[in-house]
Formats: sequence, structure tokens, C-alpha cells
Amino acid sequence: MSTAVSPSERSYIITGLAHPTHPTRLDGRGLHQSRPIFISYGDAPQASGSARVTLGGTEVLAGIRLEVSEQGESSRCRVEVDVTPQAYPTLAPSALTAMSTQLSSVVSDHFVPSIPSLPIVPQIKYFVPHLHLTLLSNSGNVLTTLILAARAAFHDLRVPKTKVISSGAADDVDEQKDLSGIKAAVRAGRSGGRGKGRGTSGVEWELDLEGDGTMPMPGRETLPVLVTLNLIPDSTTVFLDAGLQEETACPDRLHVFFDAGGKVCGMRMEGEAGLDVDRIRPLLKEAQGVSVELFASLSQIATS
Amino acid sequence: MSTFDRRRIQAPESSSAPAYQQENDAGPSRAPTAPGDISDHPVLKTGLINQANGSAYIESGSVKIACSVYGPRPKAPPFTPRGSLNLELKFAPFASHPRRAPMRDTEPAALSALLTQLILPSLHLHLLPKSSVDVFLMVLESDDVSDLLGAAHTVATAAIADAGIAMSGLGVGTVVRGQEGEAEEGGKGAPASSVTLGVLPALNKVTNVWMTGVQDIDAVCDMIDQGVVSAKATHTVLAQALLEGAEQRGL
Repeated sequence: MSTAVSPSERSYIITGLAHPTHPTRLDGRGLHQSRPIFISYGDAPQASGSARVTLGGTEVLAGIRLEVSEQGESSRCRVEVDVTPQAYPTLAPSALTAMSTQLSSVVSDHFVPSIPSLPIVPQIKYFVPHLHLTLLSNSGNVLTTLILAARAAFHDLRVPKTKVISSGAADDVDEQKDLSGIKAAVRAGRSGGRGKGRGTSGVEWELDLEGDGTMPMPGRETLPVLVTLNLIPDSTTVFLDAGLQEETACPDRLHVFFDAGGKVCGMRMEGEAGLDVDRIRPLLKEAQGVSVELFASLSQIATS
Repeated sequence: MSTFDRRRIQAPESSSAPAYQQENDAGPSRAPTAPGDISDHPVLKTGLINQANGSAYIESGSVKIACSVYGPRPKAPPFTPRGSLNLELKFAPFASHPRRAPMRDTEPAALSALLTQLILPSLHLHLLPKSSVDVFLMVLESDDVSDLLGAAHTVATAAIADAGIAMSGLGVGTVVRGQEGEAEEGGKGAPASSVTLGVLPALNKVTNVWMTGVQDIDAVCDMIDQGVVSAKATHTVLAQALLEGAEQRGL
């Protein structure tokens, strides 16, 4: 699905990567060395939160829109990944939409469950984030960039502060006495005339305009990161941050999601080779080490 | 004055469900609900669909899947040096509760991609140039995605083997569930983690790992080891079913 690589190019890349004493890569990096990561916040000022991440030549723009959930709707974040044709110039549009769906499902399965819920009125109304990721260009390591961009957008997110102004129980009693009065008419108007008695169960809320009226999302430092270990055919070494040609030559990889406490919060494999059972534990430990370093450098960027 | 309806056949006043003699293991669903639970031994049969090159049917816990395999069959140009695997997983509208809308909810692309990833490492696609292997799965009952993937992997392997396509080993799917995390105040607890594994027990290899939920590394490795051990039991059932199927066809 990426650049075509001839058998001799493939052999050249793999021999360089799998060399026992002096492993070499096409751009001279170390096996565990990533390309520089650039993160900028607030690229889309109209969105509730946005960020742009560039990793080597791979670029992702992330935007979050906050909506208020209706009663009974799930408060889980919705994800949509948009793969632009510039990122994959050789793919047909149907293959692009298939890839978009695939990437959306990966983000939704492993990143979204760790997003804390944003209650307005607990158990009844929530802010629902709609996360939109746009892949602008591709130079390898797409998934990591998508997750970094999602994380950065949530870091940039400002949630409107709200406060609950009535608790409901006392009001219900009052309103039952006043059924034909003003309160009933206002209530009917507010529920949009949809009838069927759905209503908002009597709890009112309003925006808290103290300060600038918004606050950063609680728990944004602990959102998960993704570590992708690329596996080399017929070798036990792994390398990080594959470029386009390296990805085509070594199609097998292990994606592991880690949270801030070093726990695994998602895992997935790609490729045709499979993995020996004995290799799993050491690979996970290696990935955990990488995630600790990644968290440290990301928190440095965030506080600076 | 009572009207007597001569056109319709009157039903009896009282009726009860017929009582069948339970002869085999197949029957009502048994969903594993406790943490640390591994799905019961599945019931597997091959050769039920005549038009297909190979077919299999599985009932495992609360999952029922019918699978048919066509191939290796020639592919249209552009030709590829390696064969390709086309896998399609479809749900029947009555497969889950609530009912799935046809065309909208019944063809999840993400699950087909995951299942393709589970099966791919066990096939020798480089031995089938210019050909494609088409695998079609129809889910008749399922409520849980992880259980579904495990059973689907097992039944797809059985159908591919029934079609006579060479594989490096019999791939088996297993699911291992972890404990539910502590509950935060006012909200639900951390989601219970589950690991869906595709295992080749004969080669001690894992074809794919799909994990959701939050768990320590050591707990994840333990769950994977547990899955590999339980895969051996399912592998035996699978091999047995293939042998029986071959005997029935007189091979």
C-alpha cells in the first residue's frame, strides 16, 4: 500500500537493519531513534481544541468539537480519521475510505476508552468530544502521529465550565402544584415540543463565567501514547519509527498503547509473519521503556 | 349468537413447547460472564455447504458462525506474485440484541480487517500466485466482539483446511478476560480488559494479539500465556472435526 520496493532494495534495507554489530538505516538513524516530532497547538482557533503534529514527513491535523449529549446517548468520544489523497497518491478513493475506517477503528478501540468523561449534570448530560483527525501527508509511522495529534488536541482543549443550579427533587414537588402555570409552559417550550414526556428531569445547568469561562480537560496528561515496534523478518531486533521504504520492506509490526502509569491499554499486530510466544514479554518490556521516555519528553514540551 | 368461523383453523386453547431429547452439545447459548472465564469447548463441523470448496460451522458459547471458502481461484489482472486473501464477515440481522439494520450494521469493515490479520500468518500465500482465496463468514448469533473474533478464527481455519488449501499450522482463536478495574466515584470502573489471540499451537506462534482495556504488562503476558494454553484444547477439537469431516467424505 506504500511505495513499491524491489527485491534487491528490500534485501538491502533488511540486511542493514538486521546487521548484528553495525545496524544501519537509510537515513543513518539509530534503530531506536525517532525522527524529530513537532507539535503546535491551536491551529484551528474555531475548534474547541486543535493541534498539528509533524513526525518526519508525516503530518496530522487534529480538531475537537464539543457537543452536548442528549439524554440516553453515549458520552463516548466520536472519532473520524480523514485520509487525504495527497498522503497516498497511488490509492483509489475506495481504498482511501477503507483505510480511513480502519484507522478510525484503531483510535476508537484503544485511545478513546481512556478519555475521561466530561459531565455537565452527572449521569444525565455530558459534553461529547468529536475528534477529527486529518492525515495531510505520509512518510511512515502514521498511527503514532495520529495518536500524538489526538493527544495534543485534547491537551489544547478548553472545556466550558458549568454549574448545576437546581437539584430537581424539590422543584418537582413545586411544579406538580403548578402544572397549569408558567413553569409548565416554559418546560414544554424548552423541550422543543417533542412531547412524549422525555424532558430533562428537572435539573438545570448554566455556564459558569468565572475567569474566561473555560478550563483545560482534567486528566489530559494521562492520555495514552502509542509505541510501534517494527519487526525485522528472520531477526529478533526491532526498530522504531519506520520510514516509507522501511515500512514496505518490513511489513510486520506490533502496536502497543501505554498509559502514564506504564500499563498496557491496547495492543494490535500487523503483518503476515506472526510472532513467537516467547518474544512477547521482552517486546512488551522494551515498548514500555520507550513509552516512559516518550511520556517524559511530551510532558517536558507541555510544561515549557 | 356465536359466530362459527369456517374459513380459519382454530388453534387449541392451550399449547406448550415441544420437548426434544438433547442428544448433542449444540443448543442454546452459554455466554461466559465471569472474569477469568474461557469459552467452553466449541462444537465444530465441516462440509455443511456443498457449493463451496470448503466450509465449516461453529458453536462456541454464545457465538454461532457459518463459514465458506472458495479458492484458490484465479484473480483478474493486475496479477500479483503472491496470492491474496479476501475475507468478508457479515452479520445476520437477528444476530444481536437489538436487531441490526441490514446493509448498515451488518457488514463491519473493521472486524473483517482484524480477522484477516488473525488468519494471514498461517497461510502460504506465496505458493498461490495470481490467485485469491475468498472466505465468507456469516454470523448467526453473537453479542460480544472478542468471543466472536476467536470463534471466527477457528471456523475460518477449519473451512480453509476443508477446502484443501495448505497452511503452516491450524490457527485457533481464543479470548481471555481480565478483572474489572476499580470503580471511580460516580462513574463506571475501568473497562474489563480482554485479550483476543490467534494462536498456532503446533508452532507455538501467535498470529495476532488484540487487547482492549487497561492492564499491567505482567498481567497481559499472563493472559496471553493462558490463552495459548487454552488454544491447545480448541486445537484438538478442530483437528478432530477435520478428521471426522474427511472420513465422512470417504477420504
